[in-house]
Amino acid sequence: MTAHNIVITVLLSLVVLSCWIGSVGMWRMREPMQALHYLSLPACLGSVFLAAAVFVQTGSSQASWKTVIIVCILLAINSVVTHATARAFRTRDLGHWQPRPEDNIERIPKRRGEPA
Amino acid sequence: MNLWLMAGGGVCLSLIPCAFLCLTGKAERRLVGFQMASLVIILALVIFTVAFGRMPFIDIALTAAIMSFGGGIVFARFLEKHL
Amino acid sequence: MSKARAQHAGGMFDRPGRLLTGAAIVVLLLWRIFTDTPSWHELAVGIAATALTVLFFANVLRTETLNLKLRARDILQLWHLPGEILADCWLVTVVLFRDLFGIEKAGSFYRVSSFKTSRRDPVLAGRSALAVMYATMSPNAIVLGIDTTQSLMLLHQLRRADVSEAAKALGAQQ
Repeated sequence: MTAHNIVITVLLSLVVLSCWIGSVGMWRMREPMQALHYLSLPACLGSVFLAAAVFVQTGSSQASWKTVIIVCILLAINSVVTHATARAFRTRDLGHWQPRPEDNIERIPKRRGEPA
Repeated sequence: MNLWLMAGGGVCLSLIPCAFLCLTGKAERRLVGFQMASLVIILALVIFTVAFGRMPFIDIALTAAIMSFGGGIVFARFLEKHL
Repeated sequence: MSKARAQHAGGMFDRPGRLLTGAAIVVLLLWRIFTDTPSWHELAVGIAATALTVLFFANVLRTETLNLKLRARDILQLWHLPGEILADCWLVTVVLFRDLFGIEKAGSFYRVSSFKTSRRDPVLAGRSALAVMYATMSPNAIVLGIDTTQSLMLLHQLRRADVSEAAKALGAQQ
């Protein structure tokens, strides 16, 4: 097994692992809002490892640069779609997405040493 | 059988939980299952493109990535207002 | 410029000429990359496709009321992201395995943080948009929105954590 094959094996294993952890996490979570978090794993991690694997396999080719474009699209789009979907879930549940006093939402506390 | 085909098969197996979510439960869970399936399919398309050595087919994955944005947003808006 | 746009002047959509020229160059370059051939007939179709795209973009600019100004310094806050994404991927994996093995159920927390924002200032509006995108990229946090009336950012987290460094650089204040 050459170094080239070892690197591709490792990278592809990480892609498969990220897809599996994402899918199992999404299935396991009780609330849809929790399940949404696991979309980031294949989108942010899996796609980057896949782009690296394509570069190692094909070198600097049209396919590898198009994979980079796919990664950039997935990173940006996943973020926007997750945000829109989460907002849709909350609006569907409560009729509004904005934090209101009656929602009793906790505030993220200041860290020690940070100015007020 | 090469490494890429095996990886493609492994990635496609992760569609099983997505299918389960798409077929059962409330509308919100089905939407999440659909979005995860879109992501996994895009990655699988890239892997199979390299596995079969048909590099022009990477345009299919690229198109799917762009179209999945529109689809996800449309479903989210529908779920928020009309369903 | 429409009346609505005039009220929020100062954003990047105020210089449509530059934007359209930049868009035309980018689209033509992308066409050249995707076709990967220098032949004249492909270029001719590319020019026609670019012209259609620019026409559509011009129509969007004409009707769009949202005014944003994205500064390079704000966009470059994405340098915080790789470390945050890796750390959060590990965190959500741990949350999943602890839930799977019955050690601790996965949490679900809605939390708010102050966020310096404004509906009128295009720079602050641009920073809000970038903060939503960057903070949502990391798996542990999903930003549901930034309420301009209360200057609050509403997040959902699987495990309680601080606001991301990228969001802090763009206006989040704990």
